[in-house]
This record gives sequence, structure tokens and C-alpha cells, in this order.
Amino acid sequence: MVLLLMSILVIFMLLSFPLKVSLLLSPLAVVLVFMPEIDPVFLVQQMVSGVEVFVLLAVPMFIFAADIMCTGQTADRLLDFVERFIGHVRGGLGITTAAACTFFGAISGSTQATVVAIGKPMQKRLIKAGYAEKDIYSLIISSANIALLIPPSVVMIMYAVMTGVSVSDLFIAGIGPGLLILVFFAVYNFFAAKKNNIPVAPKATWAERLHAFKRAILPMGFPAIIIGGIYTGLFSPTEAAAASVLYAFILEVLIFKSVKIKDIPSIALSSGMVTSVVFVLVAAGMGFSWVISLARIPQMISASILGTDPSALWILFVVTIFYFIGCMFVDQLVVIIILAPIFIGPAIAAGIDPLHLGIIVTLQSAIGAVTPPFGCNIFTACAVFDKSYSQVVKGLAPYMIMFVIVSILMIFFPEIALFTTRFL
Amino acid sequence: MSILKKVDQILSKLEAFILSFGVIAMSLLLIGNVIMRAVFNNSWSFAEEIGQFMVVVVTFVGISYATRKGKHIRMTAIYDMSSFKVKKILTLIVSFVTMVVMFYFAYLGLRYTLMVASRGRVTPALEWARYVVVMFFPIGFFMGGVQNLVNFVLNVIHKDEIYSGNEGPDKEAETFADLTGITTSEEL
Amino acid sequence: EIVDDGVTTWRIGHEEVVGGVMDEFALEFKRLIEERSNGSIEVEVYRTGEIGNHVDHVEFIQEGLLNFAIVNPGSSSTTVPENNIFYNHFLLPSDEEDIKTMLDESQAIKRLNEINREHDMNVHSWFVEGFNVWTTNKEIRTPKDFSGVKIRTMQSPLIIASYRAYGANPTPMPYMEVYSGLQLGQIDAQVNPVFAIEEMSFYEVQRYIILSNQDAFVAAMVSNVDFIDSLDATTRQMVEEVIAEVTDHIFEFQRNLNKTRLDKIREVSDIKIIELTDEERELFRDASVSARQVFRNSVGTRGNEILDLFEAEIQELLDSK
Ligand code: NA
Ligand code: NA
Repeated sequence: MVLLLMSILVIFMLLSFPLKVSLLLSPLAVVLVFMPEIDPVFLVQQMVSGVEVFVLLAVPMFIFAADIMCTGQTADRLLDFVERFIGHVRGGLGITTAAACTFFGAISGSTQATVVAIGKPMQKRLIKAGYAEKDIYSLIISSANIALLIPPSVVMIMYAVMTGVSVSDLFIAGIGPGLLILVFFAVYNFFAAKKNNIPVAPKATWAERLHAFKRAILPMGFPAIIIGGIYTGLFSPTEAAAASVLYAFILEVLIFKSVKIKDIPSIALSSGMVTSVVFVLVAAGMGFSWVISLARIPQMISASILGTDPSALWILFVVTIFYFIGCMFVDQLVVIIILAPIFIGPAIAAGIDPLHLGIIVTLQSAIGAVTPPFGCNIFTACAVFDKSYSQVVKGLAPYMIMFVIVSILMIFFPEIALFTTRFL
Repeated sequence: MSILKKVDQILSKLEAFILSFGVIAMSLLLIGNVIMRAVFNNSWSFAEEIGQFMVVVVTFVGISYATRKGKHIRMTAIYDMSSFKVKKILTLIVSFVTMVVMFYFAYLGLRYTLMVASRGRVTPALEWARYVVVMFFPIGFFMGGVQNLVNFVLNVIHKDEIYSGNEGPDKEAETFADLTGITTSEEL
Repeated sequence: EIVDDGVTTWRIGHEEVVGGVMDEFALEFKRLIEERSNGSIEVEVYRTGEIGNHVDHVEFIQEGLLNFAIVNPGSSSTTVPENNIFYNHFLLPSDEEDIKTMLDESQAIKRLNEINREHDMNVHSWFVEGFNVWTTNKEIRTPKDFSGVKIRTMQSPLIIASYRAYGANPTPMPYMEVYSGLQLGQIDAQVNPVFAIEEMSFYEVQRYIILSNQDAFVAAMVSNVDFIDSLDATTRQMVEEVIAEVTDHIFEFQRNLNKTRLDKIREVSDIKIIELTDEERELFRDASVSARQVFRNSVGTRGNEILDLFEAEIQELLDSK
């Protein structure tokens, strides 16, 4: 059953079929061949409820806002300002991208929204600064993942619900590993820029910086409005996305007049199409995971691998691998729902801190979003940057290596996550 | 043929309108709800429901529009390395099989819509008939299938060119990146 | 139901995570069925989100993909609006034992179950999972205190009308966003049973728990009609006996669970727990009257008759004490 599921998925993908076809056909084949008593009509039910999710609204909103900003001047003005300060630093723009993703992740809680909102304006700058395209996309989609470790994070809330761990503790415990990944990425970008001979701009004068600052004052209202709005309770992260659309509209159409009001429908059209391209895959992925879950495949495999009375280290190792592989194919939240009840019992019995386990799970879920074949960040990047799948994932290797290193560190040094919780 | 083209143009405009209007309406809904809650202290009880509904509409109506434009995400590594002849054959197979899959899921979607309609289920907040939400699934998949059919026919008729989308042949038919007109610093 | 190697597999779905009341119900049902069928029947338990959300489960039951499911009235009321009857504030007695008596014996509930059967859901039993309690940032003792409070509720028009009647601003929000919404102050309050408040850590981001016993969270054990009717008499009887036993067991279980979880909340946080006095409850009862019309308008004659009968039966029970 697993063989049929995976081989259809991979073969159709390699034959250059649209990914949606691979993701639709493999669960359908499994239902028709192995589950004659199940009506495949329920695949439709799962696909509809898979996208009928309120928080998903943030994605088209951030795409829309980013499209308006990039058509007009907002993004340019903000990035000019940033460049005046870090343009002379080796790998500065790459490091800025990673840091901006981390920062934005703290606001949006969505890796896809981060890919769009930070990635879209940064992409052109990075190309201009001499970065290779393959490095740009892997940098953006990998950095966007830090969003899951920095609160608020839906993945953490879901894990907390499934296991009874405190949400606050989990939120705080994510900060250490999140920043650790950021440090890894920053150091890597510094050396990669050196190796690839990415030119540095001459250091800007303070007069230039002041000029850039003045031009960026209004655009800097963006982070101010989003962060201020969320932390004063004015709006939810999802609504913040819509607020940023409104602000982008006010700036570009009414103040800068760089976007005409009659251009707005066509910008919205492109945002809508990108949304559809990504969400069809989210929907199909739900049908895919439904079949796996209905057939109890994760339970069957995990029982045989864990064995009786497993050691703490073995459990952590198996959990890491399971979530890693699970998230390669299926949406993170679904993986947590299915796997958390399986592992939490043996983990507590073996003396593992469920908080430690939660951070490992969150980290693997984050990695899963960039691990081919099924990765929401990858899909989003393909659609937003209009690049083929292969182009987006081509430069991922160094980032995957860093993720693996951090994963191993997390297994052996729980303090990376737990030390922040000691301050409370 | 010209009548069909006319119909197709109208459909294309309609899809574009739904996508564009859907995204703008989402923004207005969310902003409106913030204003209602913060200024008038009176939340829209339907905001969540309408928002989810619009995600469904945009997702499934967009399938056919994205197919016209050849924008569905694919992994083209092997395709890109192939000769023109292999590319042509692959394109024909892909568009035909995709069409069959889309029509089959449209059929499943229709059955599911009828099932929901016969159960008389309503939406939780506004208590609308639930099938109104669900029916966008079969509509979207059917229209998507039609575009794959058009694509298959285009690729059969035009023997010397490859159509990834339905609005014109691939230039040079080299890579997806060329199709989009964005120049890349390095090729695959 | 799948038969393989002489072993029949039944599927049961429920709406909660590990350790919840429904989970206990399903696991206990599984244990007893497997034991009493001498292993010839196996029960597969699907928790929330594993193969679908609570509304998906209702469709699974109607179409027979699940043989059994534990559903709350909010999930089934989009097809059977009469099931919303349990969300009428100050309808159910304020004593849990009395609620159990009503759920087990009421003729009104038997008529409600007939309506469910017409929609392919065979209700075996209703059981209470605890009162819905409010968590808030300000002390609430009268409807006046509720004025302008943004309270997260489910999307149902009846529930929204109930909180509007108190002067609150009911704000629907996805369940998974509630914690952050409370923490960041986008909403001020929420309503759920105690065990869920502990499970979701809402007490970490709220100042008060208000016990007002205005309504209880109930759930139904249902089965697919064709499936249950196809069982032979012995098996059917075994099923009914097991469910009756588990329903009794679950009453004590939920009582202990809610109590231990409330104790745990008391222990790990300094949240204030307020129990409303009878006089204070009366103020809310008076304020809630107008909302009942929303229920009456949403159901037909039969639904109104069921409500009349249910009100009368409850009054009779309370009078007899
Ligand atoms: Na976050
Ligand atoms: Na993945």
C-alpha cells in the first residue's frame, strides 16, 4: 500500500506531471485498490475542508500586499534604507533576509506568508547584489521556517493540545533553537558570500543614510502597524495581513501614486492565481494524508520500530526521523495530530521532557516545509517567484545539512530549548 | 470554432473576475471585521465563515485559470533535459492524463455535492445551504479538465510547437523559466 | 465494517484528543466490545483530526464510513437543528445528577432521537461532559458586567444570541487561535468545559473562571442506521448493553476529570475561581429568555414541541425534589 502510494507520487512527479496530479492520483489508487469498501467521494470532502481554514486567508492577503508593495515603491524604499546600513558587510543582504524572515515569522506565524512577504521584495535585490538564483530561493524558503519556532506558532499550539504541555512554555522554548538556526544561516551566508565573491557596496555616508531614512519613514509604518496592531490586540495575525493590504493601498495608490487604482484588480488577479496554485496542493495533500491515516499506516510502522521499552535516545531519534519523513509528504499539522499520541506515552515513560520533545517536533515540522517532495514553502516559492520546482529546490543542500546539524544538537542538548524557560 | 473561442474568452474573463474580486473581497471582509469589532464593538459572526468560503472559491476556480496560463507547479528537471520529440510526447501524455484525472475528480465532486445537498446540511453561522460552498469543487475541476482538453488539442494540432499553457506556444520551448519571460542567471 | 480472517473491524470516531471524555468513552467501548465478542470484533478508534474534523465525522456516520461516532450537538445541528436544544441557556438543571437523569429518561430526548434517525444517525445515548464555564479578564457576576466583553464562542446563531442577550460581544474565532487571541487581548473571554480549559492552557492567559452552570457540554454516541439494523439480535444487544455501561461509567469519569483538572488549574496558576450565587444566576436566567426564541424560530413544530415537553419534564423533576 505504502509502495503504491509513494511510487505513483514519485513517478508522476518525475514525468513532469503537475504536482496536483501526483497528489490526487496516489491516494485515489490506494482507495480503489486496497479499500474497496471506502467511497473515494470522501477524498473530495477532505480536499474541501482542507482549504476551508480561516487562517489560510493570511496567505492571499500577504501575497496581495507584497504584490502592491513590489509594484510600487514601498519595498524599494525600505530595502534602500536597509542597504545603506548593511550593504558594505559581506553577505549582509543574505543575513538581512534570514533575519527579516525570523522577525516576520514572529508576527505572522505562517511560513508561507513569510516566504511571500519577505521573499518577494528581497528576491530582486538579492539578484541585483549578485547572488545566484538557486541560493536565493533556498535561503528564503529555509529562513521562512524559523517562523514556526518563534511564537506565535500554530504547530506549537497543536502539539500542546495533543500532549497537554503548556503553550507558553513551548512558545518560550522555541526561541533558543529558532535563534540558533538564524545564527547558522548568518554564518553560512557570510562565508558563502566570501566564497562566491558577492561584491560589497561602498559604505554609505550618514547623509545618504539620512536621506534613505526619510524616504523609508512611511513604508516603515508597515512593521509598526502589523506589530503594533497584533500586540495591542487590535487584530489577529490573519487580520494583520489584511491591514497590510490596506496600508499598502494607502501608500502606493493615495500617497506615492505609483500604483493606479485601475491596476489593483489585475494585481489581485495574480495574487488569486498564486493562491490557487498553492492551495490546490494543500487540498490534495489533505486527501493524501487522509488515506494514510485511515489505513493506520503510521501506527503500524511506529509500533514495529519503537519496540518494547525503548530508551530515551532511541525515542528521540525515531521521533526526529518520523516527523522528518512524515513532513516530507504531508502537512505538518496533520503529522502532529497523527503522531503525537503515538509517541508521547513511551516518551514520558522513558523520562523525556515533553517540552523537549515538542521543540524537536516543531523543528522537524519546520524542516518538513522545505523538504521535497511535499513542502508548502516550496510550492509557495514556485508560485510567487514563477519558478519551476527544480529551480527552487536546487540550492537546498547546505540548508538541509544545517537543519540536520541543528536536529542532532537538539537531541543531545535539550538545554538549547529549555534554558529560556528557566528565566520564568 | 469561433463561437467556442468566444465562449472560452468569456469564461476566461469570468474566472479572472472571480479570482480578482475574491481577493479584494477577502481584504474588505477582514478589515471590515476589525473596524466593526474595534470601533463598534460588534463582531461580524459570519466573518470566519465567509472568509473560509472565499478561500474555497479562489482555490478551485483558480485551477482552470492557472491551467490556461500553464502555471501549475511541476518538476521539470527530466523534461528540461529531453529532446523536442520526447518533450512533445510527454506534453501530450501529461495533458491527456491530467484531463482524465480532473474530469474524474469533477465527477466525484459532483457526487459529493449532491450528497451534501440531499442531506440538507447548512453552514454554521449564516445557515446557508452547504452545497453552495462544495459545488465550487466540481465546477473548478471540470473547468480545469476542459483547459487540459484544449491543451491536448492544441498540442495535437500544432505539431512543431509545444503548448505548456493555452495562450500561445512555448518560446524556444526550453525551460519553464523562459516561458515566464524572467531571465535567470543560470540554467538548470 | 471490514471482515478479515474472521475478525470484524468496527470504526468509531470522536471529536477530542487523547485523555478527553470522548476518548475515554471510545476506548472503554472498544475494550468491552473486544472482550465480550471474544476477539471476533475489533474496534478502531479515530480521534479528532486523524481522518477529519467533527463535521466530517457526521458525514462519515450518515454514509457508513464510520460505524460509530461520538458527536456534540454543534456538529450535527447543521443537519439536525433540533439538536441545538442543549445550547439553550438555563434549560438543563444545574445539578449534574439531574442532567444525567433527564438525558437517560426524558421522553423529549427520545423524540429528538427519532428525528436523528430520520437523518441516518442512530442515537444510543446522550451524556454530559461538564458545564460550560466562562474564563474572563474581569470579574463577572451580573449580565451588566458582561457589557462589551469580547467573548469567543462557537459560530452558532443560538449561542451568539445567548451572549448578546447578556450584553456581551460574541466573537467567533477558530479554536486554535483562541490562546493567542486571549494572550494578545484581541478577545477578552471564552467559554468551554473545564477539562478543555486545562487542555488548551486558557487559564494561563485569563484572570477569572466563572462557574455559572448556564449550559452543559453534552455529546451523543451514535451509529450508522443501516449498520446497526443489520446486526444480529445478540450482537445488537451486546452493543446496547456496553453503551449503557459506558454511559454510566463516563458520568463519574467526567466528574473526576473536571474536578482534577480544576484542581490542577488552581495549583499551577493564581486564576480566581468564582461560583455564582443562586441570586446572581437568576439575573442571567432572566436575561437569557429572549435567546430561546432563536432556537424556537430555527426548528419546526416538532422541535418546538420537544422543547415544550423537555421544559415540562425538567420542571417536574425539580418539583419532585
Ligand atoms: Na511564529
Ligand atoms: Na515537506
